[in-house]
Amino acid sequence: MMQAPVKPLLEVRNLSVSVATDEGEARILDRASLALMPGSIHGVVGESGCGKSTLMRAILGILPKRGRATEGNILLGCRDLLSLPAAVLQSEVRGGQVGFIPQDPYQAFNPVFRVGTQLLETSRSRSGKAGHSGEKANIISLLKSVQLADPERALDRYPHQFSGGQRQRLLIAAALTSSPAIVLADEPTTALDVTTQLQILKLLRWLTQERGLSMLFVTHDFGAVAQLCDTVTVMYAGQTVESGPVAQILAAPLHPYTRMLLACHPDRGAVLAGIPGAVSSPLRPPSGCRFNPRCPSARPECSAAIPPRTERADKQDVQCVLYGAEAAA
Amino acid sequence: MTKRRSLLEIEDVVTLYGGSKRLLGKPRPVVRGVDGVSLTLEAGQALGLVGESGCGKTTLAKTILGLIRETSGTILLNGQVVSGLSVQEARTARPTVQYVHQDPGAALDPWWSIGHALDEALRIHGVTGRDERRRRVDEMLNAVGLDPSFRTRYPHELSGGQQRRVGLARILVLSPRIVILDEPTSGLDLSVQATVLGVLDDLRKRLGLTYMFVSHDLSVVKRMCEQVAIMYLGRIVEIGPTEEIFARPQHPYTRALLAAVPRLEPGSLHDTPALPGDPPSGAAVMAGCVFQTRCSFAVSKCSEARPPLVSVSNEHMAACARLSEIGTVAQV
Repeated sequence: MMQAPVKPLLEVRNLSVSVATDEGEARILDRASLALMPGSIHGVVGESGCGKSTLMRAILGILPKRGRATEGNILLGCRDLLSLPAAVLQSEVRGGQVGFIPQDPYQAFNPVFRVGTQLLETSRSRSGKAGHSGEKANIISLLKSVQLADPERALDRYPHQFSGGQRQRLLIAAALTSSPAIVLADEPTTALDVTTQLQILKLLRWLTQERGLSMLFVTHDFGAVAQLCDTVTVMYAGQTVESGPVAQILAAPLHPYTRMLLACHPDRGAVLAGIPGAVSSPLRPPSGCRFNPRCPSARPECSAAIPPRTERADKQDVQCVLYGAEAAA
Repeated sequence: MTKRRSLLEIEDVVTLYGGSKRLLGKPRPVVRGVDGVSLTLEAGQALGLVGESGCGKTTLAKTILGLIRETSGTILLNGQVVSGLSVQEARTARPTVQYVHQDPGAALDPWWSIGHALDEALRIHGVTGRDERRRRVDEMLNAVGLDPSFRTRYPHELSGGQQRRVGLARILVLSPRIVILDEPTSGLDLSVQATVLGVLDDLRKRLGLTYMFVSHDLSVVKRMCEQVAIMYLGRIVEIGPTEEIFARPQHPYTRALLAAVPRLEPGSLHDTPALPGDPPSGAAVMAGCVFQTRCSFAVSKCSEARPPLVSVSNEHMAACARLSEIGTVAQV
């Protein structure tokens, strides 16, 4: 094991995002943090509405019109993405260093254009170059690397002529056209059957190794995280409650939410009962730790302020008063 | 014959789609939705019907319900033949079989209050007394863990988990014996799924229900069902007690399917070989075993004759021509 301090490739620090709605300001992300180490696959796991997609959009700089980051930083290398002008984000980040694999392979393609046209357009808008034949060859080699059968003929076909798994491969190829260093994958296997999911997860793992990529893998499925990811961040209602190596978190979750969520998995838990209560609305979130109204270990100080992030020696960081400095004392 | 009658027996049921003539041009291709399925459902049992999209599990469920007319085969409910009927007659003949829709949010009328929706179900099924209807609606809301005050609420006011429970209450208020649950937890968050599964399990025990659990989620089926049937392209390739099948899967498809299920153990990706390719179209005409195009054990005899379901042990059956040759792989 190398002990040299490796700097994260992408780091989100205390990021808060608010969206103005008719009913007031909704704080979708509340001081969320995560770090993506070079060459690793980092899972972001949470239930619907926990802000995982908003976090992806903030990194890509495509927050909804009425949304804005109110505090925090998104550091890519030594640059803060939040302070970059839109044009630079478009040409260098979204089109360059960061690729994106969307969730639904059935909706991401325009049904009336050939797949080749759509992939070439993506590549052209990114590179800005015009060398037509070179681009086509590049795309065909990408299609080969995502293990799509018959890549030359695939370019002349329409999206409906591909199965869900094949379309997901096409989308992965599209995300790789700019040779990004980081790929953000937003639930890329949720719409797929398990045997197809396994194919895609194996492909993602292989591509990250082969191309030296780092990946943020957003999902609601702890099973997929267990299969694919090295490290994971667990989100609840816009807060990042726990993060660390996957094996450790699965074996010994620290945060009460992570513990209760894992106990809801059909493979675990003696009695299937769910977590009492419901996720609070981001319009009127509870103060402090947002899990405190549903938490069996809640204390008065939980609603006073967001607990500090306890950075433990075993890299399993947790944001909960149970593990704070006071708890240790 | 002194054989104990099962609650539901279906024998060699085939449901075909298409085949009709178009005004001009070629007839529509015949798609074999359900292709010769036989199974029995004992009272009080939960049978999981598992397979990937397009394998015909929903078609089979709707055929049993009577919403789709079977092309051939026999369906016995309580020993009575209820097949060979038109869709209307079939629904009248099978009142004790009810179906919980995959997406109850879409199945509920947005303009109707929950009480109205439940009341309507009872009215259609001939319960005339208004007070009795009201009493049964309240009872059932209680049974699924909702307060009777939900009667005046509207679908959009409910969360996903609550909508599922209303969908369930609307069916259970009719006192069915067999409930077909079509993907009862798909699209639900893990914590909500756990609540819904808990309610389902509790209701089955309390009301003595028989479940047919249509799902692609093997972890859920393993947890909820005593029996499981694995479907591939319209056929049952393996059927038996859940524990048996999860411990000793026989058919190569079952093995691949079980191995692909994400378990809460890190790093299982490396040792699991992925099944190549996609399932063929249901319109494909194939001699022999339907799985041969993706099977790593396939030999020439697999394309000669359709392998019958043969007994592996007690009630565990699998349909593979090479069962004795490919050995057993113990699963975790």
